[in-house]
Amino acid sequence: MAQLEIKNLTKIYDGGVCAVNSACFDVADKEFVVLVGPSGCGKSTLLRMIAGLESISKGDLIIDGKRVNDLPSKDRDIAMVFQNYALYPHLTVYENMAFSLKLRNYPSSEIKSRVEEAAKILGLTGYLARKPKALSGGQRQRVAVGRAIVRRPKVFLFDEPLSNLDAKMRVQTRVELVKLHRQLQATMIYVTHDQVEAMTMADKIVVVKGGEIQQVAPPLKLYKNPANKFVAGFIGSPAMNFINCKVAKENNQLVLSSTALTAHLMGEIFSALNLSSLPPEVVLGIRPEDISLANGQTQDKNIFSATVELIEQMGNEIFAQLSLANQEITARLPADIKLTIGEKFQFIFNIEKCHLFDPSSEKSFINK
Amino acid sequence: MNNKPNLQESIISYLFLTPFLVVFTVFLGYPMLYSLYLSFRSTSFSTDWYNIFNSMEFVGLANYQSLLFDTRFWWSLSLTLLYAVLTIPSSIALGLWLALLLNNKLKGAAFFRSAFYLPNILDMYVVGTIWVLILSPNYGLLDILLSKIGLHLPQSGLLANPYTALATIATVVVLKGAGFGMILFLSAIQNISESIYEAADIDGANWWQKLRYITLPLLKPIILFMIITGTMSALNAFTEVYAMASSKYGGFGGPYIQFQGESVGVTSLSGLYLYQLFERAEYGKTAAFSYLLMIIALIISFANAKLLKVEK
Repeated sequence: MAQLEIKNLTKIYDGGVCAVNSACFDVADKEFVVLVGPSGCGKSTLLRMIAGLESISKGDLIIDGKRVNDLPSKDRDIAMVFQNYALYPHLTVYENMAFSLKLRNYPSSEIKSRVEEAAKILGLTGYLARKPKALSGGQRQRVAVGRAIVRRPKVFLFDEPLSNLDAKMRVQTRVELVKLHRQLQATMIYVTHDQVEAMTMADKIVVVKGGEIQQVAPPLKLYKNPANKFVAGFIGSPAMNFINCKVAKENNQLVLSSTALTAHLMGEIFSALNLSSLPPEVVLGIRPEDISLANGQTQDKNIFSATVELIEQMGNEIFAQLSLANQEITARLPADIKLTIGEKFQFIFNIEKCHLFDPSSEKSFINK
Repeated sequence: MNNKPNLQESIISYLFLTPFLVVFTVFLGYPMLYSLYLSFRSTSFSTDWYNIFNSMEFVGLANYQSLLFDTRFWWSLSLTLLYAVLTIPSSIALGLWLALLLNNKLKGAAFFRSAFYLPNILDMYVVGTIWVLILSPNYGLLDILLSKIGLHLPQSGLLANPYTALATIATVVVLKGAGFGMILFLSAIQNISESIYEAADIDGANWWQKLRYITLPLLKPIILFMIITGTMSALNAFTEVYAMASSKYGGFGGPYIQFQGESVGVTSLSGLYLYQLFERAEYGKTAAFSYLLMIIALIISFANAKLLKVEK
């Protein structure tokens, strides 16, 4: 049972560098929250402040209604899994997992049953007598998780726990961690730079950039309704295409024009827009999967022609690099489409799913 | 690929090794073998004292036998053991303590690191002589400093008192060598990943528990290394006693006390007794003594190698 309130958490280092600026979000009980952002964005610092490994310069950290800013790590009732696992190299797997319980003077029978239970959950039963050196990366990672589990803490913290694993192991462990979360019914905060991990694991995602929180939302909401251009470009692979357009209002539609294409916004999306707030220029965002081959359709107003520059074959689909005027965009198309590199084709895009951003503030104009 | 080195390569390798091999053979190899030869021989009434080494007689194991019944031999070995007990644990403790201090983000850490290490590169005889001056009663620095707080060294001096002489020398040696242990411990401590300590913080370990359960076990190889090198230097200890326990303070290897009807020096360590035997021209017995010391050193080294292997 644990709820966290992160209120205006700020970290300013001695040199005056502000690593985290006024971070605010809540973590509900049993929620799986993922902090995601590019390297050096401050997400790990934020996690380390929650863990008590970094002091808090300003703001409040509240766990279950109690302000814990000045409480040392060991009294916050949290457990953490580190990126490099941070296992004690001279202790066996059993001793690694038992260490925290031993320090808290648990009876040895209790320690034994808890470690064995954790080992069973994580499939480490056969490895308890081994030292970390004799384990594979994936096994070490599981020992690190086991060390956290035996404590039965209020909150689990994960600092990029999968980034030292190979691709296959990463996918497998990702699934295992999600299952574990369901099994333990625990509150978890997870840091990663990988948006795929964030999308697949999280109940709620916190996107961080340059020490500032960009958006806090469930994965699908984040994908469908990014609050700004950064979130739109960071979440989703391949990334969203951005095209700078001039804005013109015609009757009951909005015409966005660039040298590359012209887009006509009408219907629902048009009526949802606050037209008076629109600047003369906007950034149009189109996700690669919202572009398709025109296939002879000429009635659609949002049609454009582009030269195919490159085709990335994924097997089940293709990513096509298209060049139009002075701009390159990516389209995600079915695998059976026949395209020839260097030739011009007609494409259309789904205007209902497009995004509009302010070129200076980068904020989204569309609130679906 | 052919792994056998060809003739030309071998010749070139040996050519490069030659300077070392020549020095080794002349100054180490030959003396070692010759002293083994000497350890089975002895001077007698008929020895030509102008050609001692050539006219010594073969006596078999008599030299070794006479050492085993020599009170002073056993006395010197026991003193060496005591000396090792006095110096090794305190060297380890002091080196570790300095390393832990300097591992904190201390202002001027680089200065202290150099300052503590500096005595190591000074010659033991020089350091010993300086300490004789520092420790001398009435006009020595230590006595002057103590007098400021109303204390005084005993008039006889620490080095002339049979109860304090060896401990004083051990203290000087520990202080001189502390910087070496400090550097070893410091580099080992700095190799321990910071995240391990962070994990221990979260696991609930306090400062002492982190030292006890994490730092010390991870420093075990360094501690073992220091025990071995410490044992070797105790077996080889000579200069410190030679410099600090001279005739001025109760005699060479002194001060002297009575033990089993013999007058024995309380700082007469094995190395010093070896030298005394040599001075008395008991070359055969001296050689036998040095071989016994070598056997002790080898046994300890092998025990250490075994221990380290178990650790791995």
